[in-house]
Amino acid sequence: MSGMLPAPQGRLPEYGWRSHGPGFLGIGIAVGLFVFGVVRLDLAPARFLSGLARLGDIMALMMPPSPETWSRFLVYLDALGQTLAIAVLGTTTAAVLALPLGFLAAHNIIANNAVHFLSRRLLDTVRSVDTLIWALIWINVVGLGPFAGALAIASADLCALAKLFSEAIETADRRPVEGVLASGGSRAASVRFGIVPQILPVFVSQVLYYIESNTRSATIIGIVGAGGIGLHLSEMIRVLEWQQASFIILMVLAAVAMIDAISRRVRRAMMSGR
Amino acid sequence: MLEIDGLSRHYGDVRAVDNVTLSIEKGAFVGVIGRSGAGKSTLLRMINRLTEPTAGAVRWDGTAVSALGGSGLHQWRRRCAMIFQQFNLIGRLDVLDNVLIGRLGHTSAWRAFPRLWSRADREMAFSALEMLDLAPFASNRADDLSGGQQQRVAICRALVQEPEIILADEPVASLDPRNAKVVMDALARINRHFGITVLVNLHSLDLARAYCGRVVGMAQGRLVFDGAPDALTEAAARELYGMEAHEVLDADLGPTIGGSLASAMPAAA
Repeated sequence: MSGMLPAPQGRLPEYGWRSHGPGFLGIGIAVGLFVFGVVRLDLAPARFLSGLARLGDIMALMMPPSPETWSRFLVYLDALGQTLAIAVLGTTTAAVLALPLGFLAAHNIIANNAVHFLSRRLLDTVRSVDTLIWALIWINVVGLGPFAGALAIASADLCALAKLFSEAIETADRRPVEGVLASGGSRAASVRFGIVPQILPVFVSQVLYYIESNTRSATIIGIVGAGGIGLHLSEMIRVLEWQQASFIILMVLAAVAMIDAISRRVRRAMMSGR
Repeated sequence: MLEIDGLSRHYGDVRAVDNVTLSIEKGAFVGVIGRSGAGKSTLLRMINRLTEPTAGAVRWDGTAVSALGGSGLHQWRRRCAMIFQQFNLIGRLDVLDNVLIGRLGHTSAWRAFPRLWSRADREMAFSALEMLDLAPFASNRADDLSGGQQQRVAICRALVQEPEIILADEPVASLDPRNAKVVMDALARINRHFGITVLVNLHSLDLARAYCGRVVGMAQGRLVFDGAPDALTEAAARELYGMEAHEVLDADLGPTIGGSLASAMPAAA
């Protein structure tokens, strides 16, 4: 190389703090935060290593997964059904309420900056409260049980879905809307025929995805007493019935896989049909 | 009769349409020509109020449509159909439903929204499709059709509105020459057969010559020509198209000056 190209005439950009500093600083801060966390929480690597053996013991105790008796199995099946009902009911309630909210927060429907800004901030704020926190709140309002669970899921996902819908509405093609308006259709008709057919696939696929994800959420909130199979799972772990606990985990896994398979089929049918 | 009186649309300092006065008799087939950006689309869109005028008035049979609001405006748009360059169909709905959108102005919301169209309306829509050779596609999704077919669906949609005037905004600009001819023939047929007034924006001089009884030329938002297509001399066209003149003139005023479409449309000929 040195023989091929002549020596440069201009000033070569120097290596220094300006070019490399921010990168090194960023890595330093990340490492520092990690070390701070370990020290602050008094985490000893030795405890983790000795715990590993204990994890192995628990795994061994889980084998083979078994409900012990048929009657227990039926109880778990009933509870799993309750968990699925909580997930479906909570998600569909959230979706039905989220649709009008989504239109309200969409800039191309409500062309008012104040309404747009306030509704967006409101959705963002409420969205940041997790399902588990909603469950704890609703248990105090309507008491223990699946009703509180369904309400928790509905409140947690209402705003997330509304935001998704409003974004789908905002990216919808404007041309069909004009086509309907130019044919003498009302504004409502332009939304019904110009926008709804465009967002319907997004609506259905997101709702299906949320039902699947909420089956897991409904299991977790069952642990704090909001109905469903979660309560049985936490109970079995508490009394060290590891075989039954692992059986319940497998049941939830199977249920989620089943919902996933169904929703994939429905989604595919939606995409090809209308 | 359509009367346009001092119609203007300004976007800041830009005068998209500048003080246009024009009247169009019933049953006419009028072409609006000019280079892109001359204000042809804005002019058409102000007639059915998809764009609001800055100043001026539009009247149809003496009614000031530029003052209409609410259901009066919906009724005017029902009587004044529009064809778009990009067809503006609802891609995910089937062809028959798309045509039935043209019946919205005749249908109550409680019947229209769940798509409970009456049998008479569905027969009417199907008959429009048959007229434009689209009946076999009635159950297809609109976005499965080719561009030329989609534009003919849009014409069916306009037709079932039972309009008195059709505005066509560059209806063939997205189509190949063969489909352009099919679509222009359909518009001409509707004009002759039903006596519906047609006001069509065209970029191509050749098409304007072949189909329009009267040609209106626009440049920089202003009306600069109004007359029979034969009166559109090379000099007038040159003024109309300015820098773009050579593109339009080479193709249109060269060997095909007699109005023949043969060289522009080999497939159709």
